[in-house]
Amino acid sequence: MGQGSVGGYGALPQRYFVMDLLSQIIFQAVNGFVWGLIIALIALGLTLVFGLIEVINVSHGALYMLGAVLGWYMERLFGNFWLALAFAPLMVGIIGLGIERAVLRPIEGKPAMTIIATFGLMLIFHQSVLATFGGAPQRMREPIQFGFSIMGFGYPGYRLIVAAFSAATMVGLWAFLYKTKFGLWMRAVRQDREMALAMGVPLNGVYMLTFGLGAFLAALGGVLAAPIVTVEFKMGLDILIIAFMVVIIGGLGSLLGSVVAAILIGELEGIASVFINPTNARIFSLVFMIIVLLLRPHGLFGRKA
Amino acid sequence: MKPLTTDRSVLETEGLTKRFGGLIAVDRVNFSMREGELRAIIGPNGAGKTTFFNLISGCLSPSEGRVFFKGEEITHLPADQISRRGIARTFQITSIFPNITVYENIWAAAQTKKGFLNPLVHSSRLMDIRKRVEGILEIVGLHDKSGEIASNLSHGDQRLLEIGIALGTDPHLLLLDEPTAGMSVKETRETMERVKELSCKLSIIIVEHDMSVVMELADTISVFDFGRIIAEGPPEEIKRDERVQEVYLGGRSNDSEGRRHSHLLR
Amino acid sequence: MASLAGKPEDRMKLWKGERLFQIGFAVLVAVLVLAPPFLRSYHKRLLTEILIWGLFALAFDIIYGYTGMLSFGQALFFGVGAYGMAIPILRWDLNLWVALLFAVIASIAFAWPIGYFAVKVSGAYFVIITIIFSLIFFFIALDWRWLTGGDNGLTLTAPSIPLGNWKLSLVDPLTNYYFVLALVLACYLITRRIVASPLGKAFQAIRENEDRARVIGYKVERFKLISYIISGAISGLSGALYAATSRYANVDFLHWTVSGDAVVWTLVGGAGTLIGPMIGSGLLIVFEDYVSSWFKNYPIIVGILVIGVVITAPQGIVGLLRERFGRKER
Repeated sequence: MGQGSVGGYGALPQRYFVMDLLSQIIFQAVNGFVWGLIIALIALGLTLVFGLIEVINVSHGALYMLGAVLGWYMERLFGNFWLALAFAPLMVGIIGLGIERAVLRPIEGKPAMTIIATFGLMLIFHQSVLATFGGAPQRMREPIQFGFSIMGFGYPGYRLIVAAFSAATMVGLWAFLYKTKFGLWMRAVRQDREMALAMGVPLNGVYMLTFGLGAFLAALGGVLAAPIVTVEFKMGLDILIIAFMVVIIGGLGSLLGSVVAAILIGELEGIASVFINPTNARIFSLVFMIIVLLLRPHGLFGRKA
Repeated sequence: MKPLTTDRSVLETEGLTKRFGGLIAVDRVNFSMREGELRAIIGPNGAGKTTFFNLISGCLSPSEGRVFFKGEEITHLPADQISRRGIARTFQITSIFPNITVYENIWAAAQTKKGFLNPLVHSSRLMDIRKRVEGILEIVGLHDKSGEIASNLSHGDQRLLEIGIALGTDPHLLLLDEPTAGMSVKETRETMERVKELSCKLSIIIVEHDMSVVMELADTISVFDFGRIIAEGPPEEIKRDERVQEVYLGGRSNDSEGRRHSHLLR
Repeated sequence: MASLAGKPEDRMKLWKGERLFQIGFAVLVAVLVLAPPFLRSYHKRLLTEILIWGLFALAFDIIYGYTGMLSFGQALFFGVGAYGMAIPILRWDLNLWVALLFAVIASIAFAWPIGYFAVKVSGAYFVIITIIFSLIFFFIALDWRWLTGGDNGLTLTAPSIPLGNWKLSLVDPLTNYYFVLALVLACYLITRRIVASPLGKAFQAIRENEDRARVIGYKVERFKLISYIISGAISGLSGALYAATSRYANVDFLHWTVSGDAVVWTLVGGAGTLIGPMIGSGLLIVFEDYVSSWFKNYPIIVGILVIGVVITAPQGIVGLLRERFGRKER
């Protein structure tokens, strides 16, 4: 099997199969929206980390994968998905704190080195999961087993809950950034590092927390996506690229831009997949991304640096 | 010692303007200087001196106006082309090639006028460039440090290397942006001596924050304030000029900026 | 620049370092030429593979170590080179030399237009755009099964090298090895000359300070593109050699994570030294070969090693040796 083939998230269990074109399009539109919200969560973590500590985190997809795998494992251990949802991201977030302290801080301000180091982290996570959980793709039961009927076709209820949960998390993140002292510090660091330091913002703490938060968001996306996709150690490779696309199209470091871009890409690939195969849909969005990069390097919604 | 400046114009600007959003950094500047001249540009911080350099050297594109170098228009040309035509500049904040040797730093500049960079000849075979680099090392006084990695040099030496790199491109016009910034008094004096020697061979514009540094040196001084040239003339005349005193001695009663710089006029 | 250093003691140190390097290099080449006939065929193949991947790492060193552009997309050209070798032999029944030439031309034909766009962005954006380009062609290759064989790739029979009236078969591991060694050595010597040439000096100036390079008269994008194409062509050659040696080409070759290997080898061996990346790939491939027999998750160790190198010795093995013995840029 190739590394990082496309697909997975669009697939539905047999009982939801839909037939006619219009229903398919509407279905994919709904699905693209839901999936876009999950991507948004993950991409927000990536853009937060880039915007604040200027780290291009190549291991972000691996952190997402780690969330999914831990979630899958905990669900089997406790027999309760919601418990897994509560704890797995927290664990990955704590790992993130450690990574910032041990790996990234010594090479702060050297972007090329951080890219290479996070590539190393990616190798470590992939192989650790492979060693402990094995390489076989796993499927996870949806924790809620009911379907909606929208305009004559069925849609799994869990996905709508995921959408709601993602949206709520984003509101929570917004509140964290704009209503708490830590959020204020983070924004201050983003505006002007030297000034923030002079004003007494604990830079190291902010850096650590930012990376931890980024890891937490990736893992949260992972646990939420786990019942929808297949869980395996390379699942993050695909997501990493989508998250990059979202962050670039949304404008590096722009949070709102990321959310809009995530939904845009979710919809684009979703609806395109009705007409062309998922691989071509992905090629299509990759080309779109290169055009954005060349014509609007600060993203469709980004501010000029 | 100093050759007479010729009548030919080396640099001319017409209504040169640069806006950053609402801020006008350089405001309709008409500047002109003759070949062989040593010109000083002074003015308080934020007067638009560095922006003026950026516009001439192609680091920034002007919002309006035109730039002529030796009679030819160079407005909107990219920086690399302007450099190859013969305008070199240094930076206020040292900008060198940190992890290669002093020698290689100057070499990098000395070879750019070669149209074709042959990938199959060893650099050390190029005797003409070698000679030029050696000569420049002599001029800036870094000859015995040529093998050192640039980032290991002292601040003062890095400032000299900065000039060396600019000279490497074999310019007709050299723009020096506060070359003595951060230097000791002794280093400043030595550097000014070198600039004086250089001015025999090429046209130089030197931006200075500290007026006293250029007083004895410059043929003509242009004073910038708020993006405009407010006075221009020989040093003695500039010293007496009322508008200049206003800027430097804090004649503008509410302007703390002016007062802050008053000590610079001696 | 050995003869041009300033202080006499520096010159001595430099001279000594230069001598040490030359002796070391001569010994290395002698071992590579003389030892293989006495090796088991498994080790001949391993050594061949090291040379090929070493060449790939060398290609990466030109673009990253000398020009300062961190590309995660060089595997694309490795893959193009591999298919550029496999397809002419398998489908068109062309001989090895023609196929080799075709492979290199094909990788240049990819590197030129891709590089044209990629060098327009820099820093983080460049890293990402190289990954994206790599992925686009990875997916296209995956989709075009008729051309690439998709997941299964293409398998070929051992090609033979026509030499006048002779024919040398690459079935013999030793022939295969010397064939690869000759080409890799030639490439190494050419690139060593390139980095010491005026062109190489331009690359290094851009690596060190892009803005300053522009202000002293370099058309930065043009030189970046040249570097990108040279690197792409050599990556393509290494891919072609890999296809000829292993007798298959696979779409996985194009994937950006394969570029990651070159990044790791180059960093460990010493970026910006040419020989370093080759030594780095040698050490890590031997290490992998040794460890993977009892610990198949050895990439964990590779990951830890990379992080350790990045934090403690980003100049890599050869970089450290240079600091110790004073051999500067050639």
